[in-house]
Amino acid sequence: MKSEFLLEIGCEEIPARFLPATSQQLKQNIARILSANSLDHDRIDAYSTPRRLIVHAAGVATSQPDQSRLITGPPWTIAFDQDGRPTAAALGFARKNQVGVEALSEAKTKKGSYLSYQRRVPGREAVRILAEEVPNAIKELDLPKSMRWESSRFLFLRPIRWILCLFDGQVLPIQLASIRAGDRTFGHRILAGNREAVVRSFDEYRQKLREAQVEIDPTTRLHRIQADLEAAAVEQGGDLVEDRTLLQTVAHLSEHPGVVCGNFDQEFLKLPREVLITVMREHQKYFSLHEREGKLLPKFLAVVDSDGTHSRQIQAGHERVLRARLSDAAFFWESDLKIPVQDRIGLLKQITYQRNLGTLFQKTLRIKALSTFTVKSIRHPELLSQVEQAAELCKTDLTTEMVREFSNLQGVMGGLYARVQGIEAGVSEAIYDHYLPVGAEDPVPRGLGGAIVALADKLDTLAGAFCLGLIPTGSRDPLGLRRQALGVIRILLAKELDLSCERMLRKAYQGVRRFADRSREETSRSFRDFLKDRLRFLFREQGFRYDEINAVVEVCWDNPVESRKRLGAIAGMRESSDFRSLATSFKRIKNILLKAEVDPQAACTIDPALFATPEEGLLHGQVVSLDRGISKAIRAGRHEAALGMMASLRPAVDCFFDQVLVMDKDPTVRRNRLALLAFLLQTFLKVADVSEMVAT
Amino acid sequence: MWFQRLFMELLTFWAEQGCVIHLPYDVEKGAGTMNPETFFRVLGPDSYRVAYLEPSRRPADGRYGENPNRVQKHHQLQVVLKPGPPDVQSLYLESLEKLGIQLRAHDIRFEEDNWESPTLGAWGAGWQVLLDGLEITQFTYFQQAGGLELNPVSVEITYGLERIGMFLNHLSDVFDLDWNAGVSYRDLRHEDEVQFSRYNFEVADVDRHFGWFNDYEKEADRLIEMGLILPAYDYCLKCSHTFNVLDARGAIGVSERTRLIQRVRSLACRVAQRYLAGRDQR
Repeated sequence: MKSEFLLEIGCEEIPARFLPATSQQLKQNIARILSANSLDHDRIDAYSTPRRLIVHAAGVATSQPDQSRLITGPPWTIAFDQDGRPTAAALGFARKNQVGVEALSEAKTKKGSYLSYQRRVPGREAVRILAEEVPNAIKELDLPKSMRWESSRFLFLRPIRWILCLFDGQVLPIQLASIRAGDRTFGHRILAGNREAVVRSFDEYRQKLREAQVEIDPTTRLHRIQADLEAAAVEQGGDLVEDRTLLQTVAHLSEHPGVVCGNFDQEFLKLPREVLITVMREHQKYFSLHEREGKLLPKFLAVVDSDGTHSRQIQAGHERVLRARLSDAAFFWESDLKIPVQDRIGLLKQITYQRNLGTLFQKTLRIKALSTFTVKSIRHPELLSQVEQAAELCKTDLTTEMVREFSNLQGVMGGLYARVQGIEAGVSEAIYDHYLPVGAEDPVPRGLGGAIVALADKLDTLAGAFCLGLIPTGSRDPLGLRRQALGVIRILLAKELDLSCERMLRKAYQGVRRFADRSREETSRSFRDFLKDRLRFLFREQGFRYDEINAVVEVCWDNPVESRKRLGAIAGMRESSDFRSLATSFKRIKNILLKAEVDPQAACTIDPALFATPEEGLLHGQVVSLDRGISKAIRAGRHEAALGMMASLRPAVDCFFDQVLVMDKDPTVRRNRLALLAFLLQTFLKVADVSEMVAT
Repeated sequence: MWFQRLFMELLTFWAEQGCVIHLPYDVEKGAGTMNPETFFRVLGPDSYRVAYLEPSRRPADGRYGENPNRVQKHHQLQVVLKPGPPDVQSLYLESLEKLGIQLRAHDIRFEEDNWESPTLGAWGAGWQVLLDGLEITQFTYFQQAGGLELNPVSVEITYGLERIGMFLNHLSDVFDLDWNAGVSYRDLRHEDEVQFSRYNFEVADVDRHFGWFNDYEKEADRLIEMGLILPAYDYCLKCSHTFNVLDARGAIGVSERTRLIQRVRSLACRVAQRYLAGRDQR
C-alpha cells in the first residue's frame, strides 16, 4: 500500500535569504526519516513561499515491511527424546513464545544446533512513525538565525501560524510550538484575503492555492518573473541588465509575482551607471534596463506581489520612492566630489581597519609597500608610479558618503571619483578593480596595475588575520579569507605572474608584525596549509582530477603558475604505460622507506662500493644523471620533458626491484640501498609526487 | 488625509484593540522605542498594550528643511503588544485599511529587517513593511532589551507617519503635507528644521556637549546606585541625545564612537537589570 505525505509549515514572512537552504534541509530531513524507518517512497519534493515551507512525498509505503527475528532456545540435542517427542525444555520454549511445538525448527549456528523460532515482527504503520518523527525533522533544522515569539519559547525563523500535515489524506497529529497540525491552508494574504481551504491531497492543495493566488514552486515563480521581465524589457525597447542573484531573491519574496515598469527622471542619468544600478538593486530590488550599446535607460522593473490589476497606482508609488533614493545618491555624488581624493588619504587615519590591525591609513601604507615589492619582483619598473599612486588612493572611498551608504560600491567609487577628478586612467582603473575578484564568477582586475594592488590588499588581509590566529574553520569564515586567498591564486594564474606566495606572505608579515601574536614561522605554516586547500579547490573547479592535484600540490604549492603547468603536464602523461608503472614503483619505494623508518627527506649518502648487484649501479648511475637533467628541465619550464625523464627510469627501476632485495641482512648494504631509494624519491619529488596517482 | 487625522485614526484603532493611549515622553530621543513605555514595559512578565505618538530626533538627518524626504525630527506612532497576539499581522493590515489604503490595490510586503539598538542593548527579529516599495513601518518581535532575554515576547509596530502621510496624499515633499485644513507641515515644522539643522551641524558647542555627556553619565550612574531607576533612565536618554548631537556635529571619530555607544549601552543595561530586580522586590 502506498500513499502520500504532505507537510506545510505556515509562517509569517520568512527571510528570502534563508528560504532555499531551509527548504532543502527540511526535505532531506523528511527523506532521512523515511529511509531510516524502511518506508519506501517514490519521490520527494520541496516547495516554498515566503509564508510556507512545504514537503511532498509521493508513493510512501503505508507501513514498514514485516521483519522476522530468529529466537534460539535449548540445544537441538535435548529438544526431543528418543521417540521424537518434544522434551520439557522444548515445550517450555514453545510456551514462552506462545506457539505450538510444530512452529519450531532447527537453527544451525557456529556454536551448534538449537531449537528456534522465527518470530514475525509486523512493520509499524507509517502514520505512527511519521507522527513521532516529523516534529524532530523540523526541530533538527539547522537554522541560521532564529527567534522566539510565544511562551513555549520555540525557536524558528519566523512565527509559525499553522501547520498542515497529511498522510494518506488524514491529518497527522503533530504539534510544534503551540500549533497543532490540521488539514487546512491559507491563500494569499492580500489577493485572496488569507482564505482558508481544507485539502485532502497534494493535487488538491496545489490547485486550491493556485486559485487563492499562491504559486508554491519557487522555480515556477522564478521562470515566470524572468519571462515577465524579458517581455517588459522588449516592450520598453531595451535589454534587461542580467542579475541572477536578484532574480533568486525576488522569487523568494512573493507568492504571486508580477512585474511593474516605472520611469525615473532623465536628469539622474548623469550619475554613473554603477551607482544607478546599485541604488535600484540594493535599496529597492529593481532591475535595470539598458540600450543595445550599454547606456542605461531611465526606467526600472519592479517585481511586486500583486495580480496586475492596479499596476498604474503601484507604479506611481515605486517611482516616488526611487526618485527620493536617486536624489540622495545624487547628493552623495556631488558632495563627495567636492573633496579631492588625495585629501581623503589623511581621513583614513581616523578609521580603524580592524581591531588589532591598525587604521586604514596604516593598511594603505602596507598595501603600498607590498605593491612596490611586487612590481620589483616581476620586473615591471614602468608600473611603479602608477601602482604606488593607486595603492595610496585605493581605500579613500571608504570615507565617502556613497560608500558609507552602499558598501558594495567600495573600490568602484574610488575609481570613478579619481577618474572624474582627472587622475590618470591607469590609476583610476587600478583603484576601481582592486577588490576583484569578489565572487567565483567575477573577473580579475583588467590591468596589471590593478592586479598588483589587488594582490597586495588581499595578502595584507590574509597576513593580518593569520598573524592573529584568525584562521577559518569549518563553515566559519567571517572575514571571507577563503575568498581572498582564492582571489590571490586566480589573479596570479590569470596574469601568469611567476611569484612565490610564501615570499609575498613573508613580506606582508613584515607589515603587520607589530600587531602579530604569532611568529612568522607559525603564520607561514598555517597559511601554507590554507593555500594548498584553496589550490586544490580551484584546480578541481578547473576539471583536474584529485590524484593529479594531490601529486602536484604537495610538492609545488608556492607558485600557482608553476603548479598549474605541472598539472597540465601530468594530466597529459598519465595515460602512458611507463608513467603508470612508475607510479606503482614510486608508491612501493615510499612504503619501503616508511617501513624501514627512513626519512625520505634526509640527505642520503650512497656508497657505490657497497653495491652488490649490477642493477644497483645501473639505477644509481641513471638517477644521478637524471637528477641534474630534471632540475634543469623544471627551471626551463619544460615539465613534459622532466616527466619524460622520470618515465625513462622505468626499466632501471623495474630491474632493480626484480633482482635486488632491499632489506638485506647486512645492515650497511641495507642502509645503502635505502639511501639509493630515498635519493630516487627526492629526484622524483622535484616534479610531482606521482605515488598519489591512481590507475584509471 | 490630514496629518493629524492620520495619527488620530491609528490611535483610535489601537485603542479599540485594548491599548493604553499614552503620550510622548518629554526627553529628547532618537526613536519611540526609547520611551519608557516601551523600554521598561517589554521587560518582565506582565501583559501590556500601549500606543503613543513619539516625535523622534535624529540630528544627523537634518537637511535645513531643503530635502523633501529628510528631517531631523520626524514622528513615529509606536504600538507595543505584549505578548504579541497570533493575528498581529492581520491587525496591522487592518489598521492600514482604516487609513483608507485598499490592500488589494497595492504591493504590500514584509521584508526581513532585524532591528537592533546597540545603545539600548536591544534587538528584535522582524520586517520593514513596504507599501509599493516605500518603507512605512518597522515591525519587530522584541528578543532582547537592556541586554536581557525577553519573555513574553512583545511585538513592536512603528509607523513612520510622514512617509504614510506623503503616500496617502501622493506627495513628493513632506513639507507639502496638510497638518489640518488650514495649517501645513511647512507652517509648523520648517523653521524648526532650519534652526536645528544649523545648531546640530554648525553651532552646538562640542566641548560643552562632551562635558554634558560625562555629567549625564555620572548622574545616571549615581542614580542607578541609589535605585532611582526611572530618573536614571532619563539621564541615559540625555546621554544618547548628546551623543547624537556630537555625531551630527562631526565631533566623534570612528573608534571613539564605538566607545561612547558602549558607555550608553552599559547604562541602559544596568538600568534594565535594576528595574527588573526592583520589580521582583516590589
